[in-house]
Amino acid sequence: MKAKRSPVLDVPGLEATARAAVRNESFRDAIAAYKELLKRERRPEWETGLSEAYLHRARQVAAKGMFQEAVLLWENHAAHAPSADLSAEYVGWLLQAGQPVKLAQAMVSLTGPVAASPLGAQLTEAVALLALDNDKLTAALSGNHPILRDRPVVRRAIEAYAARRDEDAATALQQISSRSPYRSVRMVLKALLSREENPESTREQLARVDRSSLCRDFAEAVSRSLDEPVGGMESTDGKSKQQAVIARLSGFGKEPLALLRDAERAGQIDRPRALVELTLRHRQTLGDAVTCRLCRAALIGAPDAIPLYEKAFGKLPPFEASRTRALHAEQQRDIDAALLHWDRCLTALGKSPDDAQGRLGRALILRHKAKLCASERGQSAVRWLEESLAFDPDDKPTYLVATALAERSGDAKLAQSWLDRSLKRFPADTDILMAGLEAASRRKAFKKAAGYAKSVLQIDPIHSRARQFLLDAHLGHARKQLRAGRPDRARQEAEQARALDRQGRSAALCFIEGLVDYCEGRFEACAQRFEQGWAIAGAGLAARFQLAMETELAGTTLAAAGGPIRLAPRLEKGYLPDKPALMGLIKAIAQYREEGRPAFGRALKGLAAMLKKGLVQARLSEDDFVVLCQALADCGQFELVADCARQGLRHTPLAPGLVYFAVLANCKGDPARLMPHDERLLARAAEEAHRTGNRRASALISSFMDKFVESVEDSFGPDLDLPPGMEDVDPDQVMELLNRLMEIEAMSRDERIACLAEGGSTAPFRSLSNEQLMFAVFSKMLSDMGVDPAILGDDFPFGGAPQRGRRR
Amino acid sequence: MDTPFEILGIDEDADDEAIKKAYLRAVRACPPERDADAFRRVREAYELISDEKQRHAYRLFHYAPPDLAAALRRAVKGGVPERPDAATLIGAFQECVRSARFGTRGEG
Repeated sequence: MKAKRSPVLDVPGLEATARAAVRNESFRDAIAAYKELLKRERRPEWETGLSEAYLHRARQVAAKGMFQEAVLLWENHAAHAPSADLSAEYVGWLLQAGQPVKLAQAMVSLTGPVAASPLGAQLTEAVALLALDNDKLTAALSGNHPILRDRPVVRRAIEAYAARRDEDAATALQQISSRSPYRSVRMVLKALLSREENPESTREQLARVDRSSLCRDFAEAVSRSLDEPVGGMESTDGKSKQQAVIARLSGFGKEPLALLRDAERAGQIDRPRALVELTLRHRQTLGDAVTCRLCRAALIGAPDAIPLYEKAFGKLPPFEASRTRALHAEQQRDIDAALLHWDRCLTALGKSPDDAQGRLGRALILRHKAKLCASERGQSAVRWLEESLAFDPDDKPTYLVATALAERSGDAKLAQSWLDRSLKRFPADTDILMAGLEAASRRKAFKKAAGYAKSVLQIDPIHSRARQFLLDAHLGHARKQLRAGRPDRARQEAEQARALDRQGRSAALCFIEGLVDYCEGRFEACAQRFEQGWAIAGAGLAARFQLAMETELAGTTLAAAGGPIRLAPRLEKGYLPDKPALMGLIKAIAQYREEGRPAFGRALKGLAAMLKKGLVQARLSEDDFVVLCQALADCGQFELVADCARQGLRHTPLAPGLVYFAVLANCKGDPARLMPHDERLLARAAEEAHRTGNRRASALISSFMDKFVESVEDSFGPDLDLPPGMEDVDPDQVMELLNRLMEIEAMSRDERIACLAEGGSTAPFRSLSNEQLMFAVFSKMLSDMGVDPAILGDDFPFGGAPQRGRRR
Repeated sequence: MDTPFEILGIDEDADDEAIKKAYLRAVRACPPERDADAFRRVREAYELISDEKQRHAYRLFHYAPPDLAAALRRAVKGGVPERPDAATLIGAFQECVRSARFGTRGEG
């Protein structure tokens, strides 16, 4: 076959070819092009181009492990760039290519600053070390080179050390100067000479080996082996001669070395059965107890290896065999199999003597079974917990877990009976009493809950949760009395609350006390109380909010304009809430939400303008905006959520969390109101959240979309209350229509016009607005489906409905 | 992986008191401000076996993959120290060149 000949190119063509080849990293072609150019004329830029192409090509072939080729290419590069210094990569390739003689030649050719550089010193040391048993290499050196001078002395020292002629070795080492290329070898040898007598001195001398020396790692490995021989060997990074040196120094024979190799292998085995086999092979070295323990652990990963184990150690007791299989099943997440094997364990224990250990084992296994399926089979779990108490009756956590599980499974009666049993068994236990308190609070049995809280405080007077609960209960009662127009009783409740808030940390209590004073006509005292509460609440936005909340909660009369609030401190004119003030507001909102107090709308109403200005001015991060949006959304303040999200998006456009809240605000918190445009925004935000690993935004969007889908299914399911005219439309068709809605919105204006014109004249449609076009396309689609477009009424699905008159 | 008993340096049949003593000794040897990781290991080990019920549960349900590599390394015992021969030692010095990264050492 004839070789394909390249067309003969002129100079500009060749230059373009060379440049394109470099750009495409086809350095071989670039070399050919530059060579051709240089045949025509020896221009310096082409010389440089050729030199660079050689260098890049050298790196390419070195990356493929072709070091001899890389060496030649680098030498070509240097030939065309006479000013190129010796490079570290070239030295590395020479070593990889096994060309020590060239390495020596490179060292000899070093001049000027490169000779004195770290690379120059390392190259000299490398040649010196390789020359220790390479006579050919020494031929490349001139007669008075330090390597030639010191090499025989170092060899003499090594031989004397190996033969335990320590004095001869020390004498030889003294002849090596501190500037010799063998200075690091001298230090290591000196250190080794003192190893048997004075290990501390060995350590010190090894630490003095220069950081840039090639012998540094070896010195460190030898030093480490003084304390940890195995660790020292491992840190040689697989260098067999260095390992052998450390092995000899540490007194390791062949067998331990083989063991270490097996240990390295064992670390890489991820099949439990293979691990059992390897463990059994080393039984003699490891001893029976360790082998047995390791095998038992490995069997959990591979119960099919039980026969191997039994061959070595005899039959596994039935309990152990079942336990191994149960744990294996748990690993495989096969809960049914796990429960079956744990039952077999219980049977085995039932057959053994009824001692304390056996009884405890049965109780623990029953509780373990309950834990395994607590989330899916709550009632069975409670039954097993009950059974476990027959064997270990005083296990407090079991009572608490059983109560919680019964509650979670919705069996209030059972939960209460467990709680009663717990209280009977542990009447003075604060954990159990607190469980009672929580349960009573959930049932809204506040009197009972308060009783539990008092019991807890009798046992533990500084129990913060019980104290807070009681304080909140008294505040709640005080508000109730204020609403009922009984300030005297409200005062009694406030006084009891005050006894629980000795450090005066409750702003709410101060505000309530102030309201009581106001109702009793003590305006001065009221103003003082308000001032105290104001200071505790931070004297800013949060204080104003809390005061507004308390007056709202105390009743409409007090909340009316000109009421007690006029006696409260005022925010300065032009006050703008900063970041801490906004965060304080979030905290206060959360606190009232926790207590289940509504009326946020009225309390926040007076603050809206201030809050909006604060959102513009305060330096808030994306996270701050999200947290604020969340707090406001929890209060149902969607207008404020919209403002907050908008401001946040000004700072961080497309932040997925903020896009979510903007959409949530548009829908007034109701996923069923989601518009196609917002749906697309949310889809993009979800992608962005996924891409950036923003789990919080992902979760929020995903939950919202789930609710949206549910609402769509609810609206178009079989028992649907469809709009008039659509009753007979196939639900699948309706879903199809919803999908098409999104397509219409994504169409360009021209596409919509083309869709309406159906191949005819487009002129009649050109004068329509975008909204009218969209409506017309949608109506056409409905007509095609046999549905009367009039069903749309004013509910145009693309945001604002076009004017009726204009639609027609 | 070491068992909690090994971490605290006690026998597997140690009682509550012995375990607590070993725990306090271990905490004194590596207080959290000196070696937070070691302290955490000791603390976790103690919590797993601090009383009879915990120990029983540990034996019944705890599973950690067996660390055969560590056991084998522990089983390696040194003998009487010897000196390497000259050829091995020369070979060891020459291996220093094998993995050298030229121009990059001693700069950190």
